[in-house]
Amino acid sequence: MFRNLYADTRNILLSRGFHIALRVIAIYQIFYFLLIKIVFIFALKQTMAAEEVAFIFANIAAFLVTAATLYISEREFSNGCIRNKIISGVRRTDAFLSAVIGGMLQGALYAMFACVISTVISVLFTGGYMTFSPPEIADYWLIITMACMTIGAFSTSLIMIFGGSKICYVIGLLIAFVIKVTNAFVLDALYPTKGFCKLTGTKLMAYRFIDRFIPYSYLASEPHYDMPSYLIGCGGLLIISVVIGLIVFNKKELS
Amino acid sequence: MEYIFKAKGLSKNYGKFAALADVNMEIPKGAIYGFVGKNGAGKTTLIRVMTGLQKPTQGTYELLGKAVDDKDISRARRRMGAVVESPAIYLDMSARDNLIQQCLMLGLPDYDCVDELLSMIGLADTGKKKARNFSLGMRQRLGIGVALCGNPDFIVLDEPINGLDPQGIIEVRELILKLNKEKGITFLISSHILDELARVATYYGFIDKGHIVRQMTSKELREECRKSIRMKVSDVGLLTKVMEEKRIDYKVVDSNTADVYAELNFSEVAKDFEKVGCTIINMQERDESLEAFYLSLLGGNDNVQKSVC
Repeated sequence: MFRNLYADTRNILLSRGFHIALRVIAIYQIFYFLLIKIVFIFALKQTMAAEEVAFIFANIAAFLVTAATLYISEREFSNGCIRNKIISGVRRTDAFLSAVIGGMLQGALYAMFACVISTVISVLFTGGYMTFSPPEIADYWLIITMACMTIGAFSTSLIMIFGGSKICYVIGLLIAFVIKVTNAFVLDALYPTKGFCKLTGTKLMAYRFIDRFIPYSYLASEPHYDMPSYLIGCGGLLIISVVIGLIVFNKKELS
Repeated sequence: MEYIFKAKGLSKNYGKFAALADVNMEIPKGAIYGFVGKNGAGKTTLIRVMTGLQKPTQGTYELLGKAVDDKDISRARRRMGAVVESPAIYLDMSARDNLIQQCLMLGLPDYDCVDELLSMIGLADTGKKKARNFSLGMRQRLGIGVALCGNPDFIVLDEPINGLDPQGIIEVRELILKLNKEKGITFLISSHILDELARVATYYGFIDKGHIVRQMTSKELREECRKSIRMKVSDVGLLTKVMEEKRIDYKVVDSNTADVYAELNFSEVAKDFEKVGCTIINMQERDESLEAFYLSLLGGNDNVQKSVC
């Protein structure tokens, strides 16, 4: 298991998809910062607060982590490397768990990289944080990291369940897109800018559930629940992905 | 005889379609086993079952002495390498990195074998060039190199020379022969290029519609494909009498037909036959290639006539 995990980690770090994802994160954050900076300098004529740009990674995190993990895992399948592992005597359970942990690792690395870029930009080019305290900033990044790790694991298990089929790109990205759109409605209904929340009964429960326990939602707004809720949400999706994935992958006929 | 792989009553169904039906097959240790069959005959399915990618619907097999349901089968698989359909390589890594990756996965204590393997597969001078930029032949050789990590006892190659140029084919062939001779590695090679297979294989297995039609040694195959004259005569008993007297090697096919393995002086033979009262009805020179033998065994008799010299 561990030697396989080591080999998988090495593969991730050397793969083109991983490096492209890091570049996208850096370029997105820098360009977004420059754009906002221009607005603040020329239009608003104010000093920009760090909050304006600090957590912008969360906007693209679900799509980026999904796309990158799907790409790297799918390539392992299409290049025959998963097949080679089984042929070389790696147990299916080990191969699956190692891939899922690899997906989590990718999610964590992307979030950490984004955090570093964000910190550099915030410290050097903004007026500093106005509303967030250091523990809140740390909490926010922790929740982003946890959500990215869970999305990475979920996407990887999708690939393993579907045997490397390209359909996973559609499913994975569609889920990210649908939840992103749903979240806009959910947040709007739960926390309206004018007036109070008008939701009641089952609808309220469903909206709350999405907001509270679906890790994709954690990237849509600032943290507003307690840490156990986030842990339950991330842990729940992770357990579901692993259990279903293991059952399917262990019975799967590989070609 | 010690066998690397033994299948007994192996079947594999996809819904109602039987890809493998009651396959019994043995691969002797140290052999280069040429696995021959048409497209869709069941070659790749058998390889997939053998390598653990798919489970058999029925039957059982033993790999390196471990039964398919043995807990230690995955340990046995670690003594096996395979290139199934396409080489299993990481395109974002160099040849060296790919071999190190496989060493890591197998849990080898060091990477001492990597340099030797790179030289063996002729990729020692590729440096940091990514596998993505390799030619098809280089990828194929790298795939074989990956399969060779950890000194396996058994290597499965599914269509190993597909898409290779003549130089690449020669290199792969020489590599297989070298590994078999020097390291005693047993090979299972599935290929459509029969003439090429005939240059390396020491055993053959012919598969058709999921059944193993025949298994034979290369010696037996040579015997089958030996240059001969097929003689159709009025009485094969009289023919054998003449052949015995003349000490000529022959094989009786049926009551009227025999294959004679010698250069014959026809006028002399005709006289000898006349003496004993045997009439020659027909004579045909035969020189079957593996291709012709394959076609005669697995159907397509029209083609056989064309292939027989």
